[in-house]
Amino acid sequence: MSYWPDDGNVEAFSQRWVQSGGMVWEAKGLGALTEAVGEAWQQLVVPDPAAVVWPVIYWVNQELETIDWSQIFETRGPVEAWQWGPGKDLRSVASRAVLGMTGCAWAVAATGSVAIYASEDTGLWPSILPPAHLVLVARPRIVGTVAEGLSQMAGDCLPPLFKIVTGPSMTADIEGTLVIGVHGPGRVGAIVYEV
Amino acid sequence: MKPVELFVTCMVDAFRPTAGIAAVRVLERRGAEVRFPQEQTCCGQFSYNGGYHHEAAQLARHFVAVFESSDHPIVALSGSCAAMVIHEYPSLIAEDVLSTGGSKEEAADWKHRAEQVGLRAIELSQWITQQRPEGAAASHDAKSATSVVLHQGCHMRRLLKANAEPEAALRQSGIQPLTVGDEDQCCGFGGTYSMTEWKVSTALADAKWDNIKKVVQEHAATCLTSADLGCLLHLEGRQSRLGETFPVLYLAEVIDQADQQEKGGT
Amino acid sequence: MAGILPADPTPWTKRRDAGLSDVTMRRTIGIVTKRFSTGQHNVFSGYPEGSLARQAAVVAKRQAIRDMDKLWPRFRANVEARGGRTYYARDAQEAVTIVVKIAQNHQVQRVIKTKSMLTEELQLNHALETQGVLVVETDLGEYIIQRAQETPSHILAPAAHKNRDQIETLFRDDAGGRGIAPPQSNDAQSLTLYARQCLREEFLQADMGITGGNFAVAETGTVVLITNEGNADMVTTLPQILVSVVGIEKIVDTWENLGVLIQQPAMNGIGQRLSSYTTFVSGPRRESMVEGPAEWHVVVVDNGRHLLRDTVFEDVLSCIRCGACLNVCPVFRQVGGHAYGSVYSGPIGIVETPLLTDWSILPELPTVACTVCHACGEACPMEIDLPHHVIQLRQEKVRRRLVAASVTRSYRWWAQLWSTAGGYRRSLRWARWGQRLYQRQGTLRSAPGIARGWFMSRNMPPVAAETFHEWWDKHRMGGPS
Repeated sequence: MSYWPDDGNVEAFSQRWVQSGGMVWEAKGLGALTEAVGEAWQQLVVPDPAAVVWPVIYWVNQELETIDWSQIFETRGPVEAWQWGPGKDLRSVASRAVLGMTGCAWAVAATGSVAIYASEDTGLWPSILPPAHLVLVARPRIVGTVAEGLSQMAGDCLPPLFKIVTGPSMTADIEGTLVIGVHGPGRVGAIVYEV
Repeated sequence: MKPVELFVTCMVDAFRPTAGIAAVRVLERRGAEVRFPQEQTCCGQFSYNGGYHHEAAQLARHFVAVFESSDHPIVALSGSCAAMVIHEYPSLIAEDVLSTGGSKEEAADWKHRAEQVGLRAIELSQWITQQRPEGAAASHDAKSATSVVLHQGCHMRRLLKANAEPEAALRQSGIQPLTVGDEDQCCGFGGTYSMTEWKVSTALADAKWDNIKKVVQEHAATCLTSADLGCLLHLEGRQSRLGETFPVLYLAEVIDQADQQEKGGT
Repeated sequence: MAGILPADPTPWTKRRDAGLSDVTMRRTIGIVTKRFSTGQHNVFSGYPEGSLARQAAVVAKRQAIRDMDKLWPRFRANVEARGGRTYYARDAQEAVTIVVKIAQNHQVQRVIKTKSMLTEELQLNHALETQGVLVVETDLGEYIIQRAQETPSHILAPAAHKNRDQIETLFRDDAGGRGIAPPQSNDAQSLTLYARQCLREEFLQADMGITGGNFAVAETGTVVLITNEGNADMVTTLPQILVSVVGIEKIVDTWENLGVLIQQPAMNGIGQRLSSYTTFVSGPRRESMVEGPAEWHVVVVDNGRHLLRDTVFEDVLSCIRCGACLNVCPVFRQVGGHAYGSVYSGPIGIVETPLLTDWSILPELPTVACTVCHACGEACPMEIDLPHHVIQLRQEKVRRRLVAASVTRSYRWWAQLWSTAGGYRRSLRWARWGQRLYQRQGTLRSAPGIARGWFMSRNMPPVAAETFHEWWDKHRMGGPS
């Protein structure tokens, strides 16, 4: 059962995201959200048990910054959680991380996509370098179509880099056989939340 | 009686006249009064597809002049030739008039004449199904029906957009048409392409036969048929060269046989 | 100004025969093209918005081509305003010179690249390599064929001609050369994992990235890249210098028009509503940021594009390189991409190659690689009139006397004879008389002239003893009784 049975965008987003090969959870309230992140960890993260530390790299949308995410992750094992922020070059952390968790600027119902901007506070590497990516989608940020999302981009707020993610990294370059997880993450999850 | 003008096509005329005769019988049984403008020759598609547009336009003008004197339907024994007349003639002729020094008025006049002829052109199975638009009112039950493999020519499919008609025409005669895998793939005939690029053309024929044979084995089909004799001569010619003898019949021949059986049976 | 495109010097007949006799390639190409074309068909069903967007995309792209010369200065101004550097290259040589110079100015040693048909067209890798720069293709298919020192055989699936065993052999040799562990087995998963590990190192070490551009947006100076693997995200975020090489025909005016176009490559190419990654570059990174290049250079290339403007072939410039026409083309499925001898294969390739180069290379393509089945015309989401273009190019060849004079004489003679009923009937009587020489057991087994090719592999019934015309004369003269 959806928390938002009347919101067609949530339903469509979730359906398309799953169809592209992603996993999806819903969370209403902070408690439910942190719980969902725990569930997502179970499903998405496959750390090397022999590894001394399990790096996690993350950033969240502003409304979730009050939560102590490091603490939440650290209950999962020898996690070393790194928060994206101005002035930090976390490229090597991101490429070692077992999970990247990000927010998103907007999401698209019709295609099951999320848009992520590169900026001082929000980064792209957590979504591409680790083998698993979890994206936190604020319900009101889901728009109907890609065109609707793109129409916001013409103004001055256009970041020098941004991207739209629609499912895991994949290829069919070898005999047309689908392989998930080429350069980017093979496991992707989305939590649609409202706080 | 419904008067129709028969456009028999050069391929039927020269290489399979019996298919034309079968078509006459099929048309007449369905209430047509068949007329045959004896001055007719060829639609000129061979030249057109080869890039010889002035040469094609000569044949096109001849066609228009031969067929424009009545307003009856022109029943063509080929989807591809019908498509040539309907879709290519108006601009082909008009452009040729202009490029050979004709006036704009002359070009426009020819274009109009070609369009009028094109409006009347119709492929045989389209005409048949038009007579009984309710479609598949098969007079035999499906189990005892003869199965045939139906190859749909590319121009029938994509230019005339007549995907349902050959099938419907066969069903009306109690015949079960079977489609083959990769049915939308060209058989490789392609007019003079079959001669100039015979290796590719033959590879396509072999691929088509592979798919046909699969269906034949599965469903015990009795023959291969199509609304385009060009494809059939190419496919038949290939198996003949390989020493094989699966029957290959033009659509009107299959329907004509069914008509005769029905008559014999009742 | 005519474009410069690479051409395989091997003659068509040899290229064709190599394709036809490559069983592995034909099998793999068959699987891949069928999967893609089925995907294209399925993705539109139950998604009317996708079809509406496609129709709007055709209008938007056609208009963009009309406005090409207005959009380029606007795009240029906006890239510069956001801190990028722009260049205009009239042909391949100019483009290559510009990129090589950028690399030299920064003492670049290692380049990572996204898949780009334009850079294939420019033979950019070769130019950089001769200057001692290591160039690594990062799309898996491109990475495979780069190891094999081959060219792409399909716009979207460059290694579609190779099977798993061949790829495993390539990677084993590669691993041997580097002294690293080879792929664990020949399954697609293991082979992909091997490439992932090798390329991850390349991504982190490279000092310059090169991308193509699926679209460019004039109003903000943005370059848009579409991938499923995520390699464009690496190439655009990791190296310090980024060069985007973009065809001038890729520029659209607004984000609104980009909105209708953006899904079309994936929908029509691979049957997805959107590719996994759509990456937008609108400038170098701000100093306070860590991701993205410190310098962004955008090279806009004409290389023959303008030759098509204001001609009946202008719509060809609307091509979004989805590969849909290749996937449905019967000739492509038989001979594969390499047989075309051009960077651009399949229906779009046989039209585009002679047009971009003003017929200076591969003039045989429109004649030899099309049965005029119209499948490409039906499949093209941008409604490019490929079948008629092929026919028009054949006409152009006749006009330019690129056809043997004897063939032209045959067609003339044929038309003259058949444009009167008398001549037509006479010719059939001649054929009936002449064919006695070529007949065996009631079937024709050979013939002279143009028809000779038919009989290399097929028989033909002889001209009937009584043609339909003659039957009618005899039985029906004066109408039905």
